Amino acid sequence: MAAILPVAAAAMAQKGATIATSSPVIWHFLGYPFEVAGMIAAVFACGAARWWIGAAQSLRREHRWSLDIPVSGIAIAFSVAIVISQRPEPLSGLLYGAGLGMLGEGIFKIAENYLKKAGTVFGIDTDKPGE
Amino acid sequence: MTNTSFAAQAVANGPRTIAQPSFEGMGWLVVINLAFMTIATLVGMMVVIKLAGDAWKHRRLDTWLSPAWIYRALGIIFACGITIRCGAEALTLWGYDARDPVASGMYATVKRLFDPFAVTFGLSGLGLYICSEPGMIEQQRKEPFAIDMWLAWPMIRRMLWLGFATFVAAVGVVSTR
Repeated sequence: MAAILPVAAAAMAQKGATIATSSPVIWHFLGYPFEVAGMIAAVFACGAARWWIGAAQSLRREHRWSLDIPVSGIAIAFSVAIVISQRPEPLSGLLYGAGLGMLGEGIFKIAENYLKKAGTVFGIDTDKPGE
Repeated sequence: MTNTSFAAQAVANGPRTIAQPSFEGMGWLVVINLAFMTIATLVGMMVVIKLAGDAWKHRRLDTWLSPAWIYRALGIIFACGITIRCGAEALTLWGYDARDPVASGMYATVKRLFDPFAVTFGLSGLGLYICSEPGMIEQQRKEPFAIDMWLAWPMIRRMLWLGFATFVAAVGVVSTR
């Protein structure tokens, strides 16, 4: 990685670069390879969406450490996981990240709904039927 | 491979550059374009959402063609134009991939389809400005007082942080792909 000065590296690296002459940078996480460009796009989009939606809400500012940051962490972890498993192009990474960031707390709601459904299927919690 | 559209054929038969060939291989130019188009889209969306919310909140107070309504409508219209134009451009820039000519060509065509709408927004904003300008200037001269420009500072600070993050992300994406 020659990205000590990223701007300079970006300015110099791609002089007439084509697909044949340059290949995307690939990093590894626990042995799984992924494209760094898609990862940066997804994490940026997720963080920006989380932060943008939350920045103006006094409720989330009040519960920053107990609510906002854990949920943001989960959303970012989900985008990282999706990028590693799907290995999307930067644009798709951007959309995945933005979608998950906007979903935010909704991730937990979806999980909860699935749990409720599982409960009705197995007959554990029949007095609270799933959707 | 079947490249049905002309745009897809142009991408498929053109030089296999990483970004659009018109960048002439200047990575820094790609970074600047990518970052600015994305920032403009995000900031434009922020402004549209905020002003639309304000308009809904004060819909009883700011009646049709009142100065406050006109001023807010100007902001909404111009911000819509910027969002559509720069959003379509950001889509083509983010989505360009010589290995996927069909999608790249489609994004380029989508941009062509959206540009007239953006220009329509810009021109209607100008039209509203020109139409309201004489009356508005008259209105604004009635009680001269300085406007506190820093009332919007929290929102501006948010925009600046978003812009900084976007720039960092653009540098990262361009220099690694």
